[in-house]
Amino acid sequence: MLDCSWVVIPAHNEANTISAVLASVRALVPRIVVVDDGSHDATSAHALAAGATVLRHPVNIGQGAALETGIRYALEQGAQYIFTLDADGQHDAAALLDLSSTLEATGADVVLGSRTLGRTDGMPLSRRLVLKLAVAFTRMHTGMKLSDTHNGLRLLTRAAAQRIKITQPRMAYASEILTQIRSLGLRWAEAPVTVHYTEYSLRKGQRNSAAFGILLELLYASLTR
Amino acid sequence: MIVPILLTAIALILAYVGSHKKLSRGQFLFVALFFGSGIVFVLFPDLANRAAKALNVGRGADLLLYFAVLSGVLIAANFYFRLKQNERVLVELVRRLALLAPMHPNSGEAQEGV
Repeated sequence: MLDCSWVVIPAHNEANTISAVLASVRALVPRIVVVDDGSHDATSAHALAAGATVLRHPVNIGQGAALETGIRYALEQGAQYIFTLDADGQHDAAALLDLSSTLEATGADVVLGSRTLGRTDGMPLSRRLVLKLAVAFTRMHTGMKLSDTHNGLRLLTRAAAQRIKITQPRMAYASEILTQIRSLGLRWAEAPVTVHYTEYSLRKGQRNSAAFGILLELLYASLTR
Repeated sequence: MIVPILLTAIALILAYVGSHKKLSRGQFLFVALFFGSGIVFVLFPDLANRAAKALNVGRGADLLLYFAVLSGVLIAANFYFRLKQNERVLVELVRRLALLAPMHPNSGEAQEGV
């Protein structure tokens, strides 16, 4: 299964971590596309040197948009399975195996990584609280009994990737994927994954306050649907 | 003294808006109504007071303030929707550009951007 898979990694100014991430991922899945979302550093060059295909957004338009670009490319290349992964090194490459074994075991169309089922290192209390709220909100919003939300680790079958269309360019895309899974009637499962919160990933990643922006974007999306 | 200044300002703004002939009929109607009522209230300030009394608002100035706030919100919402629309176009453009020029690890091509 891994040999007909592609890994899609959206990256924005991740020159510090991208090489290590790619090295560990490539050991498992050789086909990787990094979508460089308008980085100002050497993210593209490092990703190329580490053996990934690189698509470069000339300007920064957001992680959701980058993910959609990468997924479209992977589909064009004939990917049967598509993994998504963050570029900041907070995910273990071994999680790809957890996702794929869950997919094989459950026959799901989409497998979502879950921090709650798995293990987290160094997650600050404030983040834990925001996540709890976000999970509660997502359960209400989508009606899905999830244990985690906004986790960058996912595995999609080709059929699922063809049907899900990410239109939210920024962070609200993660909720958008869930609402689409729900409305398209896709089968989904969660896989326990380990997430490492390092000083770097926390500085690079979203602030807790981003949750408000996400709510605003979701409100807008529901107004214009 | 203030009346000619206000009227001139309104006339100038109207002329500026009119010189950009990109307004839809609805937008033009809104702008015309907005400034039209502005002119009327500048010329006949008592009218605002009477309208306010009829609506149980108190003073004409308060009534005008409420309408100003409402139109401000409306304009902000309009800009926000436009911004989002432009964002969608931008995203699609940027994506097409990126998909046109994939960089592959072995060929070493196009490292200097698209």
